[in-house]
Amino acid sequence: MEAVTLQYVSAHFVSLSITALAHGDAWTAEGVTARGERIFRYRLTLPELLADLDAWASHKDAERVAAVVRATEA
Amino acid sequence: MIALAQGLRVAGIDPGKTVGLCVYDSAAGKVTDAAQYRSVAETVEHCRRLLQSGMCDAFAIERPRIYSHGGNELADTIEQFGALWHAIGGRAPLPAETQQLQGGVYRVDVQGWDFVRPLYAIERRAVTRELSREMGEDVRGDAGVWAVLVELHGGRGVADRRAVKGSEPGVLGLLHGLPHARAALAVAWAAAQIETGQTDA
Repeated sequence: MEAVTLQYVSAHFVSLSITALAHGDAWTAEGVTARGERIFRYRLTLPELLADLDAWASHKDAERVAAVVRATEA
Repeated sequence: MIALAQGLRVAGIDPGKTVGLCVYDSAAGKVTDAAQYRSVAETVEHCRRLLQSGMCDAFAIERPRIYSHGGNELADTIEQFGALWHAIGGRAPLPAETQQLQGGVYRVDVQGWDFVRPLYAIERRAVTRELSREMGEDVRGDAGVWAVLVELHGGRGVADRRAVKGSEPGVLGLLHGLPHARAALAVAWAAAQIETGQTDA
């Protein structure tokens, strides 16, 4: 299993940890605040995931974005 | 808390691809202003006009929590909320500076140049919870929310631009043809209910 985490901070107080987890061919994306509140969670395909991560990483309001890719235990 | 003897005029905002805005006067049970915009900048400008003209006592923004889809629109909507929260007077991310009144309801006092106003962040679940409590039944979905708001304000005809030819518009008549402003009414109505409950308590 693989996981991708995008740390996203913007000028408008938006601070999210966006983690995508692979479940076979499907992925789950989850956005959590620094306080641990889950703001969104949904299932998606790999192409959709890549588009979504790009949407966050290239967002016009983004101030800091950092990505971490790691392998996790199955 | 501000005095509510005259009721509360709440500017509700529904962020999204199209931003809905609606000012609801809880004492009169009437919408006094409504608009839709395609940008945060236009929405903020409208809010500034409301403040300058003393047309509202409180602001309430729907806080997005979305569990069905992502994409550019999700990122934009979350950013819009943050931008509006900041522009209207919030000084830190939720929930750092706020009081969480109940699940999905956050409140902070923001200092204007004339007096302090409450600023609410309200999640959809809290809006439907307030409506469900008022109606004594489960209220769901955009259509369900709108139907209940119409019923609470007098039923059929209240959302007509002209109830009868030549007569005054219905109390929700300003929302005619503005679906996103209708969603903003739900936010404003819920904030007025919660604020009044806080003051009465």
